[in-house]
Amino acid sequence: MTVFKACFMIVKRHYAALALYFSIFMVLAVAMTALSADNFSTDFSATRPAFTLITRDGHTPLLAGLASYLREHGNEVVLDDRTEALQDASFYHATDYIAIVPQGFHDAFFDGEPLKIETVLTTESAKGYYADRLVTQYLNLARLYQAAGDIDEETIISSVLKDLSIEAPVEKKHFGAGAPVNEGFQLYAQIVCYIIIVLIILCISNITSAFRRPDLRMRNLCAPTKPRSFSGQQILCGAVVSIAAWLLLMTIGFALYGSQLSGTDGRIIGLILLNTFIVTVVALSLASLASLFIRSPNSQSAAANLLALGLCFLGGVFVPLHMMGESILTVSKFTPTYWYSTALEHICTLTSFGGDVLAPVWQAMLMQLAFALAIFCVALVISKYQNQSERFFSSIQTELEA
Amino acid sequence: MFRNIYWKRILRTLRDKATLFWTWIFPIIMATLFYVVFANLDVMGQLHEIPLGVIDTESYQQDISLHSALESVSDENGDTLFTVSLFGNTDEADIALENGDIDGYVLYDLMGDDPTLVVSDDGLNQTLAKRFLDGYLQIKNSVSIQATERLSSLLEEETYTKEISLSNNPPTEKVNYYYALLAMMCLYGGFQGLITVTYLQSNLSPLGARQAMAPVGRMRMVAYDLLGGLTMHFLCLLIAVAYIIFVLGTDFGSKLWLVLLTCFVGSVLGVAFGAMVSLTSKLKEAAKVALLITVTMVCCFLSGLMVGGVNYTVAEKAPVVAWLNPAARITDAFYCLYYYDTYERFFLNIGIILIMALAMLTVTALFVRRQRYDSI
Repeated sequence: MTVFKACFMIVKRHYAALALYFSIFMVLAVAMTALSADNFSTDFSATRPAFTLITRDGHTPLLAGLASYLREHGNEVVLDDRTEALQDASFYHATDYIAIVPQGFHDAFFDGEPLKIETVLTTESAKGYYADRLVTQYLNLARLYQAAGDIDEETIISSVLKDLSIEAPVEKKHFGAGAPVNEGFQLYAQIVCYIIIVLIILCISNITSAFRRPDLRMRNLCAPTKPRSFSGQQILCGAVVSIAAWLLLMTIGFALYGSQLSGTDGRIIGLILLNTFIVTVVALSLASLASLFIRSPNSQSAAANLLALGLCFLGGVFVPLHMMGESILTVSKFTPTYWYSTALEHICTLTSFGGDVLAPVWQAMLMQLAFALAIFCVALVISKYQNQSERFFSSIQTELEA
Repeated sequence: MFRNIYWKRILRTLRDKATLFWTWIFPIIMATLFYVVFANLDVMGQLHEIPLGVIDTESYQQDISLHSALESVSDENGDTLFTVSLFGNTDEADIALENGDIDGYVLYDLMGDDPTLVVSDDGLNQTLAKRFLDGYLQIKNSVSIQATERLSSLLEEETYTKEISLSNNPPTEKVNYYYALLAMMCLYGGFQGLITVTYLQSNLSPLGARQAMAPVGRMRMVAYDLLGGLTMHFLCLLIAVAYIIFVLGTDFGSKLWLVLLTCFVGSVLGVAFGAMVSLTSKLKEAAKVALLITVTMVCCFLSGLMVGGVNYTVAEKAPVVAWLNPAARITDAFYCLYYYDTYERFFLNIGIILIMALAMLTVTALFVRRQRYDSI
């Protein structure tokens, strides 16, 4: 097992660089998942739109009532009444709905000819629509009470707010045995695909490019080790490194989100682990192919980042698949990461474990394995071609020469 | 001498594959990926028809006002809020809810007279369905018994609001990612500045030692070389902008010349930044590159390259950081051109970028000027 040991020595030599990459990716992954972590609740909780109320008509009970009603159902974003401030907030989605009450609104409303409130919504925003419905509902009820007879404004507003406190009962049903998968863990499992691909390509390309250095290669060709054993030991080392990376990433995932997975069905977690393991196999095959073309430390990081970023963007790892256009989705299906994301999506929405329900999950996993096998076969063919070609003898550079 | 140094610098840039990749090819690939994955970004938060179920019980059939209210928001000819499906019993509706065919269903007689909404998840669609039922119950409660007959007509609400636009161009989340990407490209001009200063310092490269003997002043040599680097970098930005606008079809507004001015000023800043970083002779070239990339990435993160809207949050919570961040200024200049009808903030951004570039070039000039070596 001399080759196997030598491979580990090479990995050890690159320990610092790999650790640096690993920690940067982990910080990014944790920061991204922490932003969207949710808490599962058995009660229904309504979505709260961010709203801004700009009043150019002074402070009247009518508008005070409107503001308090909106605050009950949404989150207020206070902005200056300046066009630039409103433009910035609307463009960057800091607020979903801006309502600008014009001067004279109060008097016109009670005179029966209300002025229109100017609203700014981010393009056809559903949250903006919801906030707009709240405003309309409030003013509609105020109009009803005003039309009913000679009632003073304070009484109208208190009656309106009282009526608006009436809510329809909501029953939240939960299907399936356990709690749904924690959103933070789901996102972590999604992003981990990128980290696995980059790390494994970097590790494997370090090992192979060292062995492909012309002087070492010529020396190794004279060694009393069969070429099959030589390649086998390299592959074995690659597999061990890949499994170690997978184990490490999964351990970190459980350390971060384990406490939030207590109510989740164990079979779902098992399937997520299996899916990440399969993508590790895919990453190993990708690395074996990519490392054949990596000839210097510079091209190493370029290849790792390009392959991982391209596959993860196209495969729906960074951005949900439903955000992509139909034509792009057709292309995405030719990437293993698409099937990884699809399998993960199916697993996280499982409510039962019947054959029919699990079929899309198995199909997506088998597709990934098929990709891994195909890529590995292509890598073997190219490797064989390269071994027979003289020009590859003089073109490999490692950091020793760089 | 100018032509000699200038052209040799351009040739050198064209032959440096690593720099070509990171400053020319990588951003174009990133822009393509943005285009691919953000195709539906602006449609994400839009209002779509909500599939809603109703259990077709006797109580529901008798409640004509709820019937007509649901019909008014499920009108096939108008703006449809709900697509209503009737279910014979709760078991059927539960299956549809579990499969995700409906977002919720309305059930009568479960907890008294009021209709109940049954959902399996929290979300905006469910909230809108609830708001519809809330509105129905609130109006129903507000009118007297005599008026109940005209409840359905009261449910047809009057419009009190009118939507206005704050700019000639529509707000879109997509463009800011491209702006931040262009800001990143501008700052990647640092590679050019870094190459110039590193390879002109006699203690850092054999080329620098040889060039120190040339019959031309150091300042002029650095300036010509930087100019060559700047030309190539600006050319790379022109190609990227042309690609994003004409190939990917991203709207940058109508002020194209000012977009190019921003790219040029941003490139000057990037090149000046790289030149300043490379002055630290104690660091190896790889470490300088790492420093350059790290600072660029942090600045770009804070300008919204990775998470949209971060630049706005930073500008609100820590305005000093936002004003001192070169990537944020470049991004903001592009944004002003797209979304503002006035030019004050745009030229303020350009002014700040130029001051930053000038400060960095001055520092570089002070260090490079009359540099002598006791031993190389």
